[in-house]
Amino acid sequence: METSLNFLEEGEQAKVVRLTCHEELYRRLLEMGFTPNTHLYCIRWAPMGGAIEVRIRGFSLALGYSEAESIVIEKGGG
Amino acid sequence: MRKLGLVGNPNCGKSALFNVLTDSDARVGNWPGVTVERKEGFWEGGECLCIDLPGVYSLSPYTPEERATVQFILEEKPDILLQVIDSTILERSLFLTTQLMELDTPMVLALNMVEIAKNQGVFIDADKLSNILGVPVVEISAITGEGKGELAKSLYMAVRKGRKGITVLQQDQKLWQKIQPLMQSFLGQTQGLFCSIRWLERQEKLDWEGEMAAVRYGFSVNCCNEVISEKSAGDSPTEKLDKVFLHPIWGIPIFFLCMALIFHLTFSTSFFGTGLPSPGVFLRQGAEHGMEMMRDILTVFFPKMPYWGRAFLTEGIFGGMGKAVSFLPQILCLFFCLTFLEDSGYMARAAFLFNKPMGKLGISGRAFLPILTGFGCSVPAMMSVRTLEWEKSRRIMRLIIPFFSCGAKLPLYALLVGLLFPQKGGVVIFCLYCGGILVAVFWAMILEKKINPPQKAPFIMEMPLYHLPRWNNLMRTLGRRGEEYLTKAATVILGASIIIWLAAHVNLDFHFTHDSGKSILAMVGRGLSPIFVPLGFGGGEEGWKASAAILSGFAAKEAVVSSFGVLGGAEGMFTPLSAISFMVFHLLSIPCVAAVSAFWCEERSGIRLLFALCFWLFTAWMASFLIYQTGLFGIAFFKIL
Repeated sequence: METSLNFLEEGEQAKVVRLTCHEELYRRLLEMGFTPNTHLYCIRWAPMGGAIEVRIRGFSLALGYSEAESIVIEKGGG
Repeated sequence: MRKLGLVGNPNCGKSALFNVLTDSDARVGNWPGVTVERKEGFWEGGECLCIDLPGVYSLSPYTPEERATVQFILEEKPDILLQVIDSTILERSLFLTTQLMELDTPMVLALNMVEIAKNQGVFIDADKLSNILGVPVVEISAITGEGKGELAKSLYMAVRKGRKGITVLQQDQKLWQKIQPLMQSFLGQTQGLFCSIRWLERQEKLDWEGEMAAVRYGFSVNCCNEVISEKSAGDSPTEKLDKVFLHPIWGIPIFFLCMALIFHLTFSTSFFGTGLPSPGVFLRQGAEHGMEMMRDILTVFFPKMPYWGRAFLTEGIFGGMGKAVSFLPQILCLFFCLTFLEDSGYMARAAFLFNKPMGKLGISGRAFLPILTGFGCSVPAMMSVRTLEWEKSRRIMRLIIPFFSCGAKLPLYALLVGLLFPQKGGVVIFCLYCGGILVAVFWAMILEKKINPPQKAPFIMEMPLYHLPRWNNLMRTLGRRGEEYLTKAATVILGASIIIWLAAHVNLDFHFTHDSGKSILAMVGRGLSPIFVPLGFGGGEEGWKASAAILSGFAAKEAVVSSFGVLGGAEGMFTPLSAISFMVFHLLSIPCVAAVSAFWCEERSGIRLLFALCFWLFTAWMASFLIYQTGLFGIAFFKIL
């Protein structure tokens, strides 16, 4: 089922479906490797839920809540 | 001479390699985006001019310092590019490689941090990688310089061989059909392939960008599957440490504990309650004794010095500049701690922890680095603001940076706190720092609403691996900081000390006078007093000294202390309350000339500069006024009780 990255909980896996953001943010996320079907998993949420740390393509990336909202994912896989 | 451009992702070790190759001391840190300006240096072994560029993730970048990198490649036409690769993140690094390969510029890949990758169980076959890409690949260590000779050889060979751009987008039929005709129209131009792909990428109607990224990453993944042999390794040290430092409950308290510890280490006169001075205070006392000894020795050596000469030497030079210099060890102690944290990778975690509260201020967690730099010096902080994504965040940051108390403001706190709060030194200074942060937060909240457009600052940041800070690097940073401070002491602060001394000893008829109360400086100081009297200083017989000292702070913040040294007035001039008001004014008012000119260089707008100057002055005056008047009221209230 499709949802967005901000609904991914600690330790859960998912794969990228598409990005709903535009221009600069879109480009930056592409650079970081958020292309369709890429696997990622949530390492942790920051206190107060302000940011999420995900593991994607072998490195750790911190994303703000609203950036996470713009990444459509499908939970599961591995 | 050949030109060698160092490119690569942020935080992959370009600057460290640059330092090793050219034997220079560019700033290195464990944080993506430490380098904001290009640096040049000559590499003897490679017989070329090395240019260290800000890190990029791709060649379609979007912050100003990233744009600089692309501009360099296209306009300055380096003879060769060296892509530095963090071996632990090969997959993402190759994304940039696929773009660099489209250039007609010869290139070489340097695999850095191979050891760390091995410890994580990642083994890369460099020869195989080189075969697949058609580009020379060399293993190097940016710390020890291992592999330097090999690197020089392959660079030499690559330049001789020359290069024609190729693209992995060829693998995708649809894209390639689009690119080919474009190439025809760019035929004959330099970097034709690169330009045609860039052009296609910018067409907005269809999402070529997304497709290209997918193809590039597809290639990168296949490539990694070919060349990497993985062995499973347990939890990496970074993961274990993050479980503690990024703990959902304890993460933030641990951060504040670290900060409190640093201040205790630097400013406390009773180290962990033992009654012994903390290392920072101990160092300062040593430096003060050293300065006094030097002064005494000089006066012994020149016993026949005329009265005015002696007064000039002891009051003007040693009282002024010497005073400022004696605070240097304590400042270095603070920087040692902060650099240690930044170098280890912890500061990037702090950005992660505080993204939510900072987002409310119109800046993201990324602003942590400029802020941290600001505690050192506002000038580089103003420059590192460039790494932020939105112009709005950049404007807010430039206005609030002076509120993060820089190292040059510290000597005054140390002086006044030593005189008036000997027991509670660390606490008072910690409160001042926190006060500065609160003012910054207060204004950021307001500015966030006032500055258009009303959009939120994005937060996307790589979490670097922790590593033990290298002693060399720490010492180099401290050495540079010390050098800057001493240079400033020997120029601006010395100059200001001399001017202040002369102005305090010459009367309106331009004759030397023993009564400094009749000097030019006293006149100026008294003229300014009405502004400062409501803040609790600047009034009375001796008050002009405080006004004059504050004025000298615009040359350099340390000069406030050296002025007091020259004028000899800090003792007995302040009550605890007016001292706090004075320190608050000193903290918040217009930063030194250097910082103001850095602001100007970044903004390039007279109106904004004028606004900023008024903004800082207004903030400082209001804050001091409120503190002093509330304090007076409070004291009166308790007396009645």
